[in-house]
Amino acid sequence: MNCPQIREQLPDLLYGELAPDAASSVAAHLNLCGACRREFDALKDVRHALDAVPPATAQVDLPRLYRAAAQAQDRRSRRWRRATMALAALAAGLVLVALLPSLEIRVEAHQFAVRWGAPPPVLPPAPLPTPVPPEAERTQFVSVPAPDVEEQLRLLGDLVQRLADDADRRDVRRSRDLEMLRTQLTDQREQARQWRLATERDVAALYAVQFPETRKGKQP
Amino acid sequence: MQPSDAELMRRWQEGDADAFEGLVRRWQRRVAGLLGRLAGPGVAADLCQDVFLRVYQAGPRYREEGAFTTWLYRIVLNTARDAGRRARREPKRVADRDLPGDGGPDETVCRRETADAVAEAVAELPNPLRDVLTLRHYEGLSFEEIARLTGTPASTLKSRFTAALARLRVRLEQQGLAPEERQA
Repeated sequence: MNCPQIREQLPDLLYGELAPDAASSVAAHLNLCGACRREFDALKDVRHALDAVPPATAQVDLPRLYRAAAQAQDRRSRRWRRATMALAALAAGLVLVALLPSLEIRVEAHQFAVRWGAPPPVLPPAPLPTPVPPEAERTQFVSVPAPDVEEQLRLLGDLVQRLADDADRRDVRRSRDLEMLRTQLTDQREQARQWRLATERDVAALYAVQFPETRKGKQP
Repeated sequence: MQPSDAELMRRWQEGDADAFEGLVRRWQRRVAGLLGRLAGPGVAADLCQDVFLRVYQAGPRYREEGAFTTWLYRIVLNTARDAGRRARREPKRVADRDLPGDGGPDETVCRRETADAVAEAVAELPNPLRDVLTLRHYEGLSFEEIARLTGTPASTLKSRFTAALARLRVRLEQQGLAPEERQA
């Protein structure tokens, strides 16, 4: 073996980990090679120096250890609770965000409506079934040309349907306006009645002044 | 006959608090010594407390699959590394420790200075070199045992150990500790 190979084995020789044969070979080389011997002596000095450092000593404080373990457990529990709550809040937020675009809350005159999902499609009103007249009358209908009336009736039906739909969507203000108009009409009627009564009283008074005899029972 | 470490762990897992305290009494000196060499003697006491706190917390999950020593040393190494990351390696001094003083005052002072110089040189080693040097030299673990402990191949550990000895040799010579002085 050459010197580099020997020097690779010096730590093993130093700590007694070489097999007896290998240890003998290395020892024989060290007897002949001054440089390797000095290297080995230096390693022995290092090992000796390492042994000069005394170990640190410590005494474990068991009550303090148990207290620290309990506090750590408390901290873990609190973190777990916080994480759980945060996850629950996040899940609720995600659900809300997912539902919000299709959620509709409507306050109307006499109802509070909450609807989720796409609004139902507005279907055209289904045509009313036309009663089938008896054969004789059918013949008479067929013979009577009245397309204008049919068309007008259909338009009128559409108009009524749309008015009904529109009436459903009227807001509180429109209802209030109608109520106000109704009140004004009642007031006008009452005022007209008062005027009529006053006029009748005036006419009666004039009649009494102009025709005093008639008050005794003689009508003109 | 004293119960084995594995037996104490099993009894502790079954609710015997005395078994845990027996483990602490059995291992605290050795753990403190190892931590003093890995992280510095100044923090050894606190880190020793920290190690056994980790043992206490990890105890319920311990399975008797490998040696208890390997499991414990792994905790010690992790604790020392965490402390090293926190402190970013202050110079590790060996001051204010009671050294064996069987000689006169001069000899005690000389031994203290030598110990300080060596401890400082060890502290200046990179972590991988210091770990293998400490476990091999002070704990007497074989390279195969250190390999199981650290997950590093034994051949790499052997190279690191050789490199650590070489660096220490150079460092001690730079500090003026001639061989004859080191023999003191």
